[in-house]
Amino acid sequence: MQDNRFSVKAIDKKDVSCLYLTGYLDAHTAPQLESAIEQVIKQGIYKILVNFRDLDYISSAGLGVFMAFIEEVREKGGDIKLADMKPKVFSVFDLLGFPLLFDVEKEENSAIVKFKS
Amino acid sequence: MSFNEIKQHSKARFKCESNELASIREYVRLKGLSLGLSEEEAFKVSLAVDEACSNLVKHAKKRSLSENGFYICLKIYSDQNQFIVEILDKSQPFNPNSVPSPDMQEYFKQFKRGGLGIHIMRSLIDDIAYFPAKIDKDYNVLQLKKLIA
Repeated sequence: MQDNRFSVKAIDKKDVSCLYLTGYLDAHTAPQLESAIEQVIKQGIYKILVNFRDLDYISSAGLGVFMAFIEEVREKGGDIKLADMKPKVFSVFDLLGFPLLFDVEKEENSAIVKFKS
Repeated sequence: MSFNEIKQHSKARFKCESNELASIREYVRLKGLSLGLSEEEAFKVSLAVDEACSNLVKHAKKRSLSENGFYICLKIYSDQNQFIVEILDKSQPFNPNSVPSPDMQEYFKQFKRGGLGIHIMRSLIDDIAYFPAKIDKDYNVLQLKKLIA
C-alpha cells in the first residue's frame, strides 16, 4: 500500500538508475522501495544509485531491502551504491557495519564516478 | 531505587499494524525529549522501540493468543537517571534476549536478510528485560531502559 510518509522516484542517468528516497523508510514503507528496485532490475539495469538526501529515517527493515538485492545485482556486474545520507540515517548503517559491504558516498556525483571506474 | 518506585509518566495504545510505527516513534521521541533525553538519545530509543514493535507486527498475527491481542501498549517511566519504555503485547511470548547477536562479517558474506532488529535494539539500549505472560498476567512485557547521560 502506498504511504505518503515515504516516496521513491527513479531517474535514469545514462546507464545508472538513480532512486531518490523521501521521508521514512521502516517496516511499513520498505515494500515500496523493494518494488522500485525490482522494477529497475526488471529493465535489466544493475547499476543502482540510491540518493538519501531527503530521507529522514531508516530502520532495519530498510537495511534489509538493500541486502535482498545486493548479491543478485553484483552477480550481474552491477552494484547498489548509496549517497548523500543525513548523519542520523548514516548512523544506522554504520551501527551494523553496512559501509563494509556497501559503498556509501557523500555525494551522488562521486558515487556515479565510482560506477565508471 | 527499585523499579516500582520509578514514576510512570504516560501510556498509550496503538494498533499492532505497520502503519502505526511512525506514530509510535514520534510518541517515544517526544516523551524522551520532555523527560531529559538528548535529541540523539531520544532518536536511539525511538528506533529501538520501532524495531521491537516491527517484530510484533511481523509475528503477532501468527502468535496472537486472542482476537483482542492486536494492540501494543507503551508505558513510559523515568527518574533523573533513566528513561524506560515498556512494550506490552498479548501474543505468544518471544524473548529477544534469547536470540544471539549475529556475526556481521558472516552476515555480509552470506548476503543474509532480516534478523537485525534485535541487534539494533541491543546496540542502542542500555538494558533489555523481558517478562513473558503467565497465568495471572495475560500480556508480555519488554522493558527497554536508557540511562540519562
